[in-house]
Amino acid sequence: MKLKALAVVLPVLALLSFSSTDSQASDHVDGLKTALDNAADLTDLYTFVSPKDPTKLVMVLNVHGIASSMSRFSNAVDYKFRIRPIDDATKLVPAADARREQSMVCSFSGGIPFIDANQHATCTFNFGATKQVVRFDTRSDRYSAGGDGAAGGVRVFAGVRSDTWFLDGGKTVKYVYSNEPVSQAAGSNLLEGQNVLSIVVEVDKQKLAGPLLAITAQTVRK
Amino acid sequence: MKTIKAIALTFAFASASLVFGCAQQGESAETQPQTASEDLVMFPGSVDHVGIVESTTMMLVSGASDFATVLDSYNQDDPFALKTGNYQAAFAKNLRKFDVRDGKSEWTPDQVTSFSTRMASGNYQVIDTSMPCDYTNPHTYLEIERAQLTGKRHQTCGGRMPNEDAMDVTLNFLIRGPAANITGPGALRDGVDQATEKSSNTFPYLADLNE
Repeated sequence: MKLKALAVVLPVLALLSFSSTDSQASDHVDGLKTALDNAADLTDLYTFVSPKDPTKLVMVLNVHGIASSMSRFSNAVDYKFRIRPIDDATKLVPAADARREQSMVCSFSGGIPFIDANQHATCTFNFGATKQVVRFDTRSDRYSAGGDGAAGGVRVFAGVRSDTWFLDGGKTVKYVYSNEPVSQAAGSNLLEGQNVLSIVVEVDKQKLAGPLLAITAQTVRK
Repeated sequence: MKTIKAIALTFAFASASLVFGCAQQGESAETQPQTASEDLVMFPGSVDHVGIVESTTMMLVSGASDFATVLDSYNQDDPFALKTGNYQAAFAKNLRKFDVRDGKSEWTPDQVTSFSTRMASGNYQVIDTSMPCDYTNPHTYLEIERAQLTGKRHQTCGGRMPNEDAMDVTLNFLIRGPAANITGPGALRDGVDQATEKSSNTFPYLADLNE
């Protein structure tokens, strides 16, 4: 029991060092559970039309705000992009009918903690009527610490990238927790030099349920 | 300071992983999924979801004590079907607090109700793939929501692009209201305008890792 208590106390102490008075969010370490489970701790979501190919939608999810070149996705977690159409642009409410949802779910296998970061990725895109599966290894010669695969109009990357989030932590805390004026001068990026694990998906827009979409990312432990 | 915290976190995670992993192995290894045995903790179900920037640590919580209570519950909910009644009052209260941060009140009561309801019912980004995304000059994040709140038609794809300064967008949106821009007189900023490395315009877009 002492071991279990210690197992809880240590991460809590770590979490407190990241307490709301010095937050790294946008979604980094936003709760006790995500602080304990960093491979499933989503840090950011991006959705945009490809600047190179306007027929493609790009979705990016990042996890693990303290990743290194040897960091791995969890083999016990499903990494999900979930997409629902929005029928009314004046209300912006996603379809309530779950049967209208499309998804991309990536799962991982293999690799050895601290020794072998290469995992086998299986990403399944459920378009509704059809499915598309993309399989690849998360380490290849094409990237420093990543791999990619493509099939049927879907391209996926998984690996370590530079953290895309940026903010001045001190000024942000001041905006949130004080009423004092905040300097508008140049700040210091709290996330400077940090890495994340990223999954990047490119998919044909014509495979999606409409032009106006609600998109979320979710990690689900199996 | 950041480095010290990263080391502390890594140490804590590694220590807990070893301790907790041993405890799990000794007590119930046979009942654990094989694939999960190397992981730190094994809570089944949703661990986290992400859509709107700072939906949790700025917009939902009121203090450090909420981290272990409100946030875990929120993160475990279905992001397309949040338990609205559990969160709407908190989103509305914090939004009203941000609104007067600059000594002025720009959010109307209807806008507060509309946005707090939206945040309490789902955590997602809205993108219109038929509208333009200017990747080299990104100003689309929350544009669709801001247009909806102010009774206008949106002009961009919305969504979120990696090089956009989403923190400045968020600060101006919450404090100066849905009609405010992030540039021009009175605009607020945190003084950090880009990540360690900018994202590129070719797949996989995000910059290579920092060694």
